[in-house]
Amino acid sequence: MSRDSALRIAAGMLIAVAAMSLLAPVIAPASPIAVDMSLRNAPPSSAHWLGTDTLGRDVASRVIYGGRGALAISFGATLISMVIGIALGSLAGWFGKFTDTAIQVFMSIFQGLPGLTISIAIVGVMGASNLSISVAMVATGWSGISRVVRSQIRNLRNEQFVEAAKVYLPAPGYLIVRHLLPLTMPTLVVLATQRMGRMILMIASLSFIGVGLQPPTPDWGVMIQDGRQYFAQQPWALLGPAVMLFIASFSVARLGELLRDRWDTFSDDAMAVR
Amino acid sequence: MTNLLRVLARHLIQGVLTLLGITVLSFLLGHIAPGDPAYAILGSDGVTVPTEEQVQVVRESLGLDRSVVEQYFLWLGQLFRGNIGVSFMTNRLIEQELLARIPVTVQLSLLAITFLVLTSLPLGLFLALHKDSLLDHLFLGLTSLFSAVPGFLVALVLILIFAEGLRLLPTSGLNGPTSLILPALAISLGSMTQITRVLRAELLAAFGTEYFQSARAKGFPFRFAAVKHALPNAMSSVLTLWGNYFIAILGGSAVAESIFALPGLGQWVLKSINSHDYPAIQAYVLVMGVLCLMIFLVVDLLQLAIQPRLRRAS
Repeated sequence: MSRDSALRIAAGMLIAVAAMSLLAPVIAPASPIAVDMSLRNAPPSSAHWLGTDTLGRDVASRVIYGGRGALAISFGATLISMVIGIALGSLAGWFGKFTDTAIQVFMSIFQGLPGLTISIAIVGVMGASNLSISVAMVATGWSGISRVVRSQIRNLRNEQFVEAAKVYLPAPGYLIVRHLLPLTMPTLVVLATQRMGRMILMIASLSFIGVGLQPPTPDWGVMIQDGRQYFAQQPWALLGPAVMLFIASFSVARLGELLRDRWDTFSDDAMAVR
Repeated sequence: MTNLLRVLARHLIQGVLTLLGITVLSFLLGHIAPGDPAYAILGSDGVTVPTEEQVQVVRESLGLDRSVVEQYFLWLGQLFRGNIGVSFMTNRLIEQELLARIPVTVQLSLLAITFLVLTSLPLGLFLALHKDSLLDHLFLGLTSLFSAVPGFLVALVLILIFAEGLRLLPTSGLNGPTSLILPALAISLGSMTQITRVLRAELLAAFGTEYFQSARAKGFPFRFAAVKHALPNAMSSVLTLWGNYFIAILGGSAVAESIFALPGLGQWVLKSINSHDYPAIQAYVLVMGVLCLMIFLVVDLLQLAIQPRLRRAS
């Protein structure tokens, strides 16, 4: 399979997942939260494509709705992490010296802890909500981006064209945005994609252990947790969300990988895992 | 040797700074937590409604009437004396709880990183030696599939196969060393493919270098030269990666402990969150920070041991 078609497939999968989530109210055959105690753990049928769960809710509709929260939060949190990471990374890389040291120390606090630990602590203290999950995702997301941006700006800072641009562009902020960041664009896109893929998995993990999105929200992580107990009677309540979670995170991660290979950008897998 | 000491000193200073930063983070977590700790302590039985005077006395004894910075240093001072605090939930000293739970989490994480090292090292070497073989292609194809599967799904599949299907291993609770096997596998399997891929790529890069070619020219067989000359050089980036995954494993231990009902730090913090026990959450962050710093330190020391040129660097 050629690189291009692989890229198209990954992008297509991602667009399909995004479209499904956006159009969930139109596509879903039933309400994702309507309880029907007379129809518990029903097998798949024409009315309920994937059957019903232990509270008689339509599994297919819950699966269709199940990505909305996590995808929206990870998309928004990725954008905010990028803005913070790019701003602090540029400052550290451009000015060096004390600014650099101060930002580095600040960064090392967030890099010195596992992402999941920071997230659990933030959601634990703030209480589980879309806001607290977003804060947790930004808190774990920005430092890796900032690290890469810093090293890229440091490398570019002494290039001749930068010296030339300094002559007519005395404001460093404008110069960085106008001349340096466009050059790091491929890296930034790859970083953002990888980060979003990780966030989707992390939010699912948080929801699964009970400190993410909360029941009865139709969310893949929540559904997988709920589906465990009744797996023998109703496997779809677990398999449905598991498959969708996999497709969503796989398509995002694969897209990042393929773009990285295509643009041959500086890859930073080694440091970004936490 | 003096250079080595200087390098070590710099790492230590960085470590201490990071540790201080983590204490600030942990303190701020307690500070932004909703509710008044004085109320929480006085009303911990859920029946007593404390009077305003009582609250004032406790607030003063806790130093809550002072500025944030003062409060931080008071709190830090207590910390240095080994006084992490009292759990709102159990009214027990947090350090007793920690002492009981740290070993579980550390054992689990150590077992997981051991799995990771013992699988990725030989597999990476094997794939590099058999580049472009069927197995090599198959493995690379699987890598991106595996990295999209979260640890908790791996755990559920493992439970299904080994505990419920084959009835080989226990699924919950801590009864002897076998209860750690499945949770350790669950948090390490996903990253195994990633590390193997990096090791394979590093080895292939090393095979193209001049020192490797000259080792070959001396007449060493390819495999011998690969293990003796290419591997140590490929190790330095893999070592960093192992360190990073070790830290990710520590974080992931919370998920594994919750699924397999292991009485470790993660399970404890999740319980604490349910009962709004903020000092416990603060302690969790601190302990994780210290454990991670220890990992960084070990990785740094190992790097110095395997890379002589680092010892000479300024």
